[in-house]
Amino acid sequence: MKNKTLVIIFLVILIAGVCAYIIFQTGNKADAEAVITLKGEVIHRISLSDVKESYTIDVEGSTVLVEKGRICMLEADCPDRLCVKSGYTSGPSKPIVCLPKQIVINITSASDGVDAVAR
Amino acid sequence: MFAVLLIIMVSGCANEKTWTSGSASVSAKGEKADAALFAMDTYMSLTVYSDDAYDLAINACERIFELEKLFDPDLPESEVSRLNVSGEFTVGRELKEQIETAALVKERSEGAFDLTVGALVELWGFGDVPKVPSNEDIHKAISLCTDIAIDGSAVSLPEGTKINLGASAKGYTSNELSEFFKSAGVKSALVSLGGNVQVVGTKPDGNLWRVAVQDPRNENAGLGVLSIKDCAVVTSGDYQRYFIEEGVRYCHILDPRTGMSVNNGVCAVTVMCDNGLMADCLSTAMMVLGKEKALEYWETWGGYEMLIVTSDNTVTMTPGFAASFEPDENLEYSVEIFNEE
Repeated sequence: MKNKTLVIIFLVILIAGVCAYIIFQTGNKADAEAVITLKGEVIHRISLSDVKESYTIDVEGSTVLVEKGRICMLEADCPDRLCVKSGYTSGPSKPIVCLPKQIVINITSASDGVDAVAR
Repeated sequence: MFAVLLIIMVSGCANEKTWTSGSASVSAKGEKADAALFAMDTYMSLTVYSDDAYDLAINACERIFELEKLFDPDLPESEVSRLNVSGEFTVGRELKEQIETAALVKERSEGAFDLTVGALVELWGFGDVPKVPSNEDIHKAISLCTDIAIDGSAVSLPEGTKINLGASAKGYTSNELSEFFKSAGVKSALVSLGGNVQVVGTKPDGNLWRVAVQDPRNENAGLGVLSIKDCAVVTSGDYQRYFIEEGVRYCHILDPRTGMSVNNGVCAVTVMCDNGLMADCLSTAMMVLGKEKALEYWETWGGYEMLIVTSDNTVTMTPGFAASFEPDENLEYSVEIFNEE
């Protein structure tokens, strides 16, 4: 009887452990996710692989274009428009940055094979 | 055993710590911390691996904001503003190191690099509304590009001369952060200050850091990847900050000798050097010198490696750069290695 109880307790812990492991691993391996931050705060999280049709998002008067698997700043009313000139993000090492408005578009949960871009 | 496993996994998840202050945010999990912030007119990010990664990343952000207060030309109480306004100021070690390194590069480049371009930069209006100034105004502004008198920490400038740290402050900062991490025993860290990259040690798994070099003519492409440890990689180019007037493109890099925007066939220079401040100064100096003189400088003085992109679609590398560089497989440039035996 005692052994049976112990086995059940172990099984429950085992199942809980496996479930927790699966949940954490799934969370870590999500496909390319774009994260848009405004003044350091996350305002959008977009799973780029789930995008069916392209669409735009307005962020403080700037227009972000979201496409399947990629994202860029389409239009901006800031003076130098460096964010528009910087094209699509290829991965976490190359965020799109609008300095005047402090907007950052970054890709997380996917590697682009490099750690940083010298530019 | 399973219970222990579960506890470790759950506590591992709960271990994530975050910190925000102004534009800075830090998130840490286990021995890795990531930070991102806006400072010195650019976007900065850093990653540090250590038992104290979270605290070190916060300290690094706080230090960046402190340095920004010293270097900000728009802040009346910054050291730079006080020196520029009064013409005389006893500077701290942070500014002194930049003035001394810049003086060395100025001397070696015969004036192609100069911190005293403040009045010239203001005249061109980069950062505000850029315009091509009149010849008369340019003449006046280059007469203010001059030597900086420094006695110990006492610095004096001739009347009207202003210093501009656009080609040194970020390099100084990345270098100081790298030294700070090393002194704290960190074996693995990466700092990217608006594209000025500096790495400490190797990646935690012992592999070299992989740093891509931007293609100056295609925002969505890289020229290739450098594999490095313990060094800085800084690029100067004509492709990010520029304006077009009457069909002519003017980039933000100015030649202190002529007062003109650089237009010598060099699109970008990437410098690899163990000192971030020197890498920053040199990348600008090499842009201004042009390809031939830049390679002469490298042959004479050495101490760094570089890659030069020219408008004839050629990438020229020094041998030490080429040894660490893997060109992109779709590279649409001719590749030359200078002085290859």
